[in-house]
Amino acid sequence: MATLLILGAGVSGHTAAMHARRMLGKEHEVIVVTPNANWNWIPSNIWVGVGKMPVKKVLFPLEPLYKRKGIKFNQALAVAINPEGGDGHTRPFVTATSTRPGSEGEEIQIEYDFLINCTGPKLNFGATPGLGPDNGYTHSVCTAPHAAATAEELKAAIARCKAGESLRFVVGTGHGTCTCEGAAFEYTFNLEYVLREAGVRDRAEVIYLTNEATLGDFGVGGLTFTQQGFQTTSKLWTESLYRERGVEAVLGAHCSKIEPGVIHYEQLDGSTHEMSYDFAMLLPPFKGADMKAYDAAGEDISAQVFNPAGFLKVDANYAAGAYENWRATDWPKTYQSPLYDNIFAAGIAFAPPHQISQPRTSPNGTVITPSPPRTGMPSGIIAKTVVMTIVDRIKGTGKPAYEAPMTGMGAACVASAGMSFWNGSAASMTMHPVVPDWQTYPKTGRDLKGTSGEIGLAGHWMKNLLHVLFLYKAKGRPFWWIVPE
Amino acid sequence: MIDYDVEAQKSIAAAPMPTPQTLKQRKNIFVQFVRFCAINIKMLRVIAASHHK
Ligand SMILES: Cc1cc2nc3c(=O)[nH]c(=O)nc-3n(C[C@H](O)[C@H](O)[C@H](O)COP(=O)(O)OP(=O)(O)OC[C@H]3O[C@@H](n4cnc5c(N)ncnc54)[C@H](O)[C@@H]3O)c2cc1C
Repeated sequence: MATLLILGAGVSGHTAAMHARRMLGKEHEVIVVTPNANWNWIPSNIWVGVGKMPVKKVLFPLEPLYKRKGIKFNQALAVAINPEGGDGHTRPFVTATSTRPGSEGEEIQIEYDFLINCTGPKLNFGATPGLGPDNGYTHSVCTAPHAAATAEELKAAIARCKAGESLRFVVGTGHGTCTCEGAAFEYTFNLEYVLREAGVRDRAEVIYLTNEATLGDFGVGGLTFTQQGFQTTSKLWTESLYRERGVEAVLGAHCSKIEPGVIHYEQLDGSTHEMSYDFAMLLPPFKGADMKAYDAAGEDISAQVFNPAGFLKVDANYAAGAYENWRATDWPKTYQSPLYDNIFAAGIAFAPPHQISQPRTSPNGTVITPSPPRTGMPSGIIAKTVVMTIVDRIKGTGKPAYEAPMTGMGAACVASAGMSFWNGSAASMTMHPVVPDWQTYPKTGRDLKGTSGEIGLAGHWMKNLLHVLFLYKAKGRPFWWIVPE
Repeated sequence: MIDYDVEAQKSIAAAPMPTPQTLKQRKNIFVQFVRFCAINIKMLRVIAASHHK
């Protein structure tokens, strides 16, 4: 009997757990450790955050599903990995702190044979003083409760506009190293749509404040694709949408401090500014989960297992150096820890070798560069790939590890720009590969056949379809595995 | 126009403005149904090329 332990039950962890349970016989254990009772379809938090979707539509409880499927569920926060056992354990183990109501704070230790770290991002609001809804003055849509609270604040702001006030709405990234610009872009245009629908657009200034050096960068260095017989760029295409919808932008910005009603930021040219605001939704930068690693003797080996930001090191080239030296081969393929061959990471939890967008620093030495996004599709594919490798190892097939490098993998992204079945719109993008491979595609870094972008109502229908399909899949409904990651 | 990041506002102001015809097409149910099918095919192609072994 083998034990597969999965830390985190978000997009990648839940995908891993469900596939592992399906592929492994009942004699093997699949255990999930995750702090929240509910699964959250995060992409639809955008609609919750503008008051267009009730929060219950993006959540469902995990425990009943896991019970039905035969997956052991531990509502807890993993705090340490002991990959060599020790402390009375003959097998490796993970220490976690219970978050289950009634037993909060209790310590549990779970032994494993294989471990997948799917702990995703820790929302690092603390990186910018005053950022975030808990200890700051800005809103967020990164979690379902954040999004629900943001919708209430937005409602109040719209009421002020209706009462005759003119307000400034700022949406974007709250730090120079943020990722997930696509989510900020979506919130901007959903907000703009809602303001128009409420009849207050003329009293609302909408500003997109971003760490991207150009619009349409999205943390992937932008895209080049073909449209109506021309090669165009995501920059031009995105700017066109900003022009059409009357949204203004501040680019290459690092928020250094937020005070009530004022955002302090520095731009790539080193200049510093203050911008007043009435409503702000700013994403936080991400770091890895706060976990430690210890060897058999109890020595702290966290620095070998994780990178400085807390993401788990895998089979990537972390010594690529300057931008000019970056290669597609820097990116991991198997997501296996180089130190422990029974530890893997999937989704945001793996340490990327470097950014995807060109790195930029202001003359003051401030890094203002999007971190590499690892969106839903790559997170799911990586999780499934890692599970396939582990299943092979458990079955003793002797096959080499399966590979899913982000330089060979595409992504389909639908960025909502307004939620309405007849009047909505969304930007539908595909890119292949996610990480440009300039050696294989010297002209544009990507395969023009697999890279595309278009705006329209069809995109909104697509986004809706994805919401329905992914919740269907996540809930383990009949033939759920047919729905691709 | 805001006086923050004047260069960004200039660049946006110089971007192609969709014509009323284009905007209508982006909402036209028949055109969009065809686009919906086309987007599905494109995405399935990318998905098929991405599930590596
Ligand atoms: C607002 C927003 C909108 C987005 N929209 C899109 C979109 O439209 N399309 C798209 O493809 N992607 C989108 N993304 C990105 C997408 O949500 C992520 O790519 C995806 O969730 C990453 O999956 P993950 O499993 O790595 O992390 P997550 O899904 O965040 O899961 C991490 C899990 O680990 C748990 N965890 C954390 N710490 C611990 C610990 N110490 N021990 C145990 N468990 C722990 C968490 O509670 C969570 O369950 C969006 C992101 C945001 C924030």
